[in-house]
Amino acid sequence: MNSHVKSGNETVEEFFKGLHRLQGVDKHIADIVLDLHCKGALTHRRLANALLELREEGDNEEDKNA
Amino acid sequence: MKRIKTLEVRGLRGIKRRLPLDLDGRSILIYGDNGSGKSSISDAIEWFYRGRIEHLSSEEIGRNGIPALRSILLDDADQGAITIEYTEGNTDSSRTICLRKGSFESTHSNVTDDFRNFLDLSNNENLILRYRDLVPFIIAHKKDRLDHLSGIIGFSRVSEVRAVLKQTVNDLARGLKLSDFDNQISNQQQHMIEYFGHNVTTKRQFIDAVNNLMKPLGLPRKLSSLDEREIRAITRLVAKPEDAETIELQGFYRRARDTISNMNAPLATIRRDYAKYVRSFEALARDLEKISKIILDRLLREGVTLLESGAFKQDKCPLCLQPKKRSDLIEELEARIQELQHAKTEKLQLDEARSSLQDAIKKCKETAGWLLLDSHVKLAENKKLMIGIETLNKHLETYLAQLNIDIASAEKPKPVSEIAPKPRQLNSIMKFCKEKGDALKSIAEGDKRLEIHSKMLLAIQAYQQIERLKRAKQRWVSQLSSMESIYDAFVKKQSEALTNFLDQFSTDINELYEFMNPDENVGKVRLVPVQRDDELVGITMDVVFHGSLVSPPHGYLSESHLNCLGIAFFLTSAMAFNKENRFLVLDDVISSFDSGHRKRFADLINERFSDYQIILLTHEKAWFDYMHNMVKAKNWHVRTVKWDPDNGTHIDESLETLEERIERRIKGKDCDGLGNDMRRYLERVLKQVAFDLEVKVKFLYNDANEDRMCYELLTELKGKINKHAGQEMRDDQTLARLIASSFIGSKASHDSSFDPTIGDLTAFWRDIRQLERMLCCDEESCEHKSVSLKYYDNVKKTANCGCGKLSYSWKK
Repeated sequence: MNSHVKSGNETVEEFFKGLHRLQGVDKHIADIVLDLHCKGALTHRRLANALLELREEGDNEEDKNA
Repeated sequence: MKRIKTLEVRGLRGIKRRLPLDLDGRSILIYGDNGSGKSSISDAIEWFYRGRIEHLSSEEIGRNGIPALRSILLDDADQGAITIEYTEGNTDSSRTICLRKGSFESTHSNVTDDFRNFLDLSNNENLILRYRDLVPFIIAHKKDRLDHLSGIIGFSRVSEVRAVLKQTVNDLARGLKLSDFDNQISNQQQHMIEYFGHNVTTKRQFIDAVNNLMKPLGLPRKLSSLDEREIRAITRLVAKPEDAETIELQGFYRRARDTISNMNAPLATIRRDYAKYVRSFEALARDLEKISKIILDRLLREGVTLLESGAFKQDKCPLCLQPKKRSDLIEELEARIQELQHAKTEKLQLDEARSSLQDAIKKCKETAGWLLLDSHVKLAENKKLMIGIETLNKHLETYLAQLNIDIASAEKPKPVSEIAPKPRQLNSIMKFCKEKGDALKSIAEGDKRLEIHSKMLLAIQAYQQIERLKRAKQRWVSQLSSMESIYDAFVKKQSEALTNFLDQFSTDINELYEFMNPDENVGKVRLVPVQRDDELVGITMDVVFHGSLVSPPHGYLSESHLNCLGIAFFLTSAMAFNKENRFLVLDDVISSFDSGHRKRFADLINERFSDYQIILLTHEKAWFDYMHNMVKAKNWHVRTVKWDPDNGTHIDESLETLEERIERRIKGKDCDGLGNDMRRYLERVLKQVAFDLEVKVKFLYNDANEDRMCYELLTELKGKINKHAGQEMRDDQTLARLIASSFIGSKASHDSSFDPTIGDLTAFWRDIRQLERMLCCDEESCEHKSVSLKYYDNVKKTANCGCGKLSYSWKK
């Protein structure tokens, strides 16, 4: 049965490989999640900070345009 | 995958001296009576791999079962050890345990990264099955089953990622709710209704509304876009320089009122979450045992950090200074930290709640901070406003200070009623701003130009704010929607992976179970994931019982069927998960089986696991004989283990091996233990002869019957021969000589002052061999070598060996 058993790591890796093909996912957000995963740094705190930065970038961009 | 080439245990559990097993990668069947210490072998293997013995780990015995591991038969200076050599790779190692200054120290001789990696990878493998381990998974709670399987297949990694994604989704949803964009937009729309007398929803409507507002001024141009330059140009046409400050102040009071109004919702959430946090804090603080574990966990973590940083390099415990290898100490500390994880769950939840509260409070504090930085707040007329905002800020600081109280300290956070800002405080600030704004508005009402200028600018600000809020909301919604899609897809992936695995796993369990239980109306075992909302909460086990699907199995199946299911689960797990080791230890697993199940289990091992190295231990004599017969042709080793106070648990060697050793020692004039070996050899010969000639001895119970002294057997045999045998046998003096010299090899010989020389021992051995020649046939082809009454010739009145070469007159 060895060949049929997919380990937890394999399941996770397989999921992240197909992340950009998921429907309804903003590319920037997929990039952030994938980047953290590849660096082995996908924690709640880091992901939350990265998303906050992305929102702030949007705010700053607007202010600059204004 | 590795098989065991040689295994040697000494000084562990019941094993006192060396117990070597030269397996050369082959399987072995080991028989031993209850109490003979055969499980010492499986215990030693478990300790070699895991550093602990699960069934001995208890509060009474001690952590990891180590105090019960080292044989109590050892002297303080002696080491206990297990050495395993494998058929491949460079992972051979000896794990030793010794007693030093009252504490146990254990080390592996192999300190390579390869070996450490091998042990890590082996950690989740199913290598040893004992009778007591058969049913726990079957009767476990559905959540424990999920945890167990998730742990083995590494689903903990999946759970971690899932938790991160879920927490992020929850955070975004909470953040979106706390930002309360809709309310903020609605506030700004209210302002526009106030300025225009109606709402506007599009840019065009807005521009038209501004132009309508300016109409009474009869300006030479109209507002054509919301471009900043265009707004500035129009403003220049409308503005009077002296109005600027009034309009700016109006804008400030409106901003301040909006800001405080927008803080209402987050402050209410903070108030509610803080009250919940205090309740959880107090509940945990009351549980002294958990608190002490949390403190211990901190200490252990500090210890690991200290040791890993290299600040303390000596091979000692930094606290008690007991000698201890640094790497072993780190390993033990990590194992203990792992054990404490369970007690830390509530603490982790509390930490999470605190962190989330801190984020929300800091956000409010930041907003209040921006207001305080505004130069208008410092005006003398706004002193009341500044005090109001500063008071609010102090409340927020108090919240943060209370959240910093350590659970391990005696202090408790203050109740929410004492520290939360009162709604009337916020209302008072808003009221102040409104009154100030209204006062400025009434001034403007007397001056048409000022009124229009003020309304136009404030409306533009409100409109721009609405656009900003809409875009900010869109960014939150987009992030939330993306993260929800990622999370949903991940949950689906996890569920598919688990279901696929469980289906395959169930098929294999079922196949093995039905092999052991053919033609029965019980089977079709199925492991099914249980979900609640989108959460995996456990695994149930269904089984078809006489045509009906039932769950759980232990509510319906007999003990032996449950045990079969346990064995099937273990073997399936081994097939599925074992990637490093190709051996299995099955320690007395068939104790509750009836003869039919025992036979089918033997067939299962023989037919389906012939490519595994099996270490099969049993105390069931009949099953051992059945299995022995079956594996003879399969090149298995077969051994019997025994226990005696001198040797502890030891392999009961075959006569051939014992004979070789005795001959070798005589040749090398090595007297150490030689008398003991000769006694064991003589005992074995005498037991067979006494059985075959129906020599009667005193009745003894069970094991004591096996423990006959040579002297007793010799004298009773002599009596029997004197009574029934012919002249030839009666005249032979061998028996008489052996009776006279049997004390040489007696068990108590070491207590005797008589110290036999090699000459004495050689003569003793000569007599034993003479007795053997007299009563045992030397023909290779003889089916039953010992002279036996089973081959009694009623015509010739002789007792014979199986082939008839040895024949003695015998009167029945």
